[in-house]
Amino acid sequence: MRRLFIFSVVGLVGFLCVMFMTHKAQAATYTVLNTNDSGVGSLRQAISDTNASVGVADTINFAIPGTGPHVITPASSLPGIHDTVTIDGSTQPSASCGVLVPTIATVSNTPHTLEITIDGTNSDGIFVFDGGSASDNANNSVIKGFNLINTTSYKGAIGVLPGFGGQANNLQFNCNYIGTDISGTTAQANTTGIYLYNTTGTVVSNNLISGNQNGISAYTNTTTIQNNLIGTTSTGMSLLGNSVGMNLGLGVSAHDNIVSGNTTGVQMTDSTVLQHNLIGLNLAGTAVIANSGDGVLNKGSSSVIIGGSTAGERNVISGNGGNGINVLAEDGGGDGCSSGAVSGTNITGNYIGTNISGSTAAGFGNGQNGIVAHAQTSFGCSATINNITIGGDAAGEPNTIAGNTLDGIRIYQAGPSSQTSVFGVVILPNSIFSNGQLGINLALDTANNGVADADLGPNVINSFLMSYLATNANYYINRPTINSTSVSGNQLTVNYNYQANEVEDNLPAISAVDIVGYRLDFYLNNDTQDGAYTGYAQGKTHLGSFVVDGSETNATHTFTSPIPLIGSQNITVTSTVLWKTIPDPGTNCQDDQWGNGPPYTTTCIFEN
Amino acid sequence: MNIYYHISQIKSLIIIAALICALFVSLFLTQKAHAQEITPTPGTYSYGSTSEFSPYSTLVQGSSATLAPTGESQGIGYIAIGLLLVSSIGISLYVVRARMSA
Repeated sequence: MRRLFIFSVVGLVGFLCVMFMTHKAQAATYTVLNTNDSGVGSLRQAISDTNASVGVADTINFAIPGTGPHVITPASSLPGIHDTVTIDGSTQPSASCGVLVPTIATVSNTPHTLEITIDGTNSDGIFVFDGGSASDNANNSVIKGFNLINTTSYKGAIGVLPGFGGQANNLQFNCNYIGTDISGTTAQANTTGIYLYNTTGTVVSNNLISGNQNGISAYTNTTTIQNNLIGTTSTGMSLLGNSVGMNLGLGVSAHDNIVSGNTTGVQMTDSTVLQHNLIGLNLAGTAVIANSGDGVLNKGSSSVIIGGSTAGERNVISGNGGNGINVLAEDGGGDGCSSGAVSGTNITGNYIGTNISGSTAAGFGNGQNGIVAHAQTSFGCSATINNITIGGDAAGEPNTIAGNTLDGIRIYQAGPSSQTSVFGVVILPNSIFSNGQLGINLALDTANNGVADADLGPNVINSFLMSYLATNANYYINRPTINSTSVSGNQLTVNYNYQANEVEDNLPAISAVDIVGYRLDFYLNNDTQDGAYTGYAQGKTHLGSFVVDGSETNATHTFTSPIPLIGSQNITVTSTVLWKTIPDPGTNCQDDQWGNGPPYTTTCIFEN
Repeated sequence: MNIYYHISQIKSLIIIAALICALFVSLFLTQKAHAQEITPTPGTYSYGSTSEFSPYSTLVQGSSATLAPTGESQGIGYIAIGLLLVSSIGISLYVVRARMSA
């Protein structure tokens, strides 16, 4: 009896231990064995099983028998992904992941070999992360190795849009062909290739995203889009465009991508970073695969970075049918009136209109301007551009803007002066040459005499003055006039006149004392006649700058040129306004009566 | 009238001429506030709008001495003041001499 009792206790304890261990879920691998819509061995069943396995990171592999490629066409939407899972189509026999963008401007790549196509014709997105409860944690999931086609949902072939309470962060999407056939050579469009919203830390890399309406739409924090082909075939050498290659906003960084062959290459809004991409060129950088519209369309109201000061941050934006970079503020209609505002953009260190070496070459210029900044109204509301910086003084910061069909940089307003405002477009040192018209064009300059007319126009010294009705839209910042020059060795002496723009003193929050001075930047031209306008050349090499505090007549300044100069070369000069940073918010940081803040600071300095 | 009276008149006229010249100096030479090159302290300013490129100018091989000095030339003004002073004194002496002769 006693032994029987002991054995019974031991057995019961062992049974309880086994039950306890098996009750706690273990990470599992589910294998897709067929292309069926449902049932055992189907992709649908595998996703359902992983969702049921809450709290563990499962894997879905593929081992569909027979010769591929294999096509799965779900009859309805697949289950949303609510739990961490790696869904790996590259586990299908004969599939492999290559490297689509080994480095920027490389001669060749290794395309993927994919064996699983998922046709989203009947689906509201294909792989969709849409969990919306505390238990829906799909963090660290991976989608790789698929050819995803034909979905018409805004949710995308891959869509991340977790609801309140759900989480889908730190995701990885790589080794996919999205919007093409399985060879990556013809289009099989999705409405949206990848849609990202309400996720952080997600990385989209090594994908071919082409042939779609929207390649990638990403509005989410700390998301990285890198080393993708967007708008080309799988070799990166031919066109297979999206309507919009990338729509970026709210903390997205995109680098080392080929974004070519689309209608619009990249559309940017707030807090986005665009670095080290080829936009309008093939993978090797040797030929143009034009985005037929603009290379980059910037509508961001804050913190947009395009390029940087190092070669590893430089974008090459060339060969596009429209502008290289279009900075556009526009109003909106619908219910009520929405104003458009673009501000806080830094454009540095890029090649715009050149080949990857920064030299002009036939066909590499953008079809319109290198950079355009303009405000336009279509609904009678308002549109404003300010605080845009192009170029810089530090090494690597100047852009090379050359070979573009129209202007190097064009700035204008396309609407009534009471509604549109373009000011504070700061052009610091750049290399601007061989553009078809002007190097810098503050448009509507029909007088073209170097002196501001009584009324103000684009790129005005004072945004408040834009509110006055203009009788003549020929406003622009006055530029200096070079009277004479003398070169001796590396010493360059210039004699110049400068008539500073006037600032009205009868405005509520600004006065003439708020101007610190005027920076004069001198450049060496590329040639005697550089562009379409007689007597106007452009600024290829920055020679130096200094600041004066007012108008000058017959003034002289001597430079030590960074490069040797000889007689018969030509120089030109620009002026840039310096505004005082106002330390007293009580009296000098007030908005004007139209709700505009001071144009001369991005933020006022508040005394503690 | 004695010689001392005439000398005092000459002094008065010279003083008047000098005051007139000083008035012209203050009106002519200081009337225009000359701009100057400055070095703003970083952090106290931000950049605003930039102009277009100016018409180009061809470099001339030579020395900086061939160009006018910084700011407006003031030599002409001083020459003019000097001429005015000399002519004022000359007129004063002529008047005194004429009176002495009378």
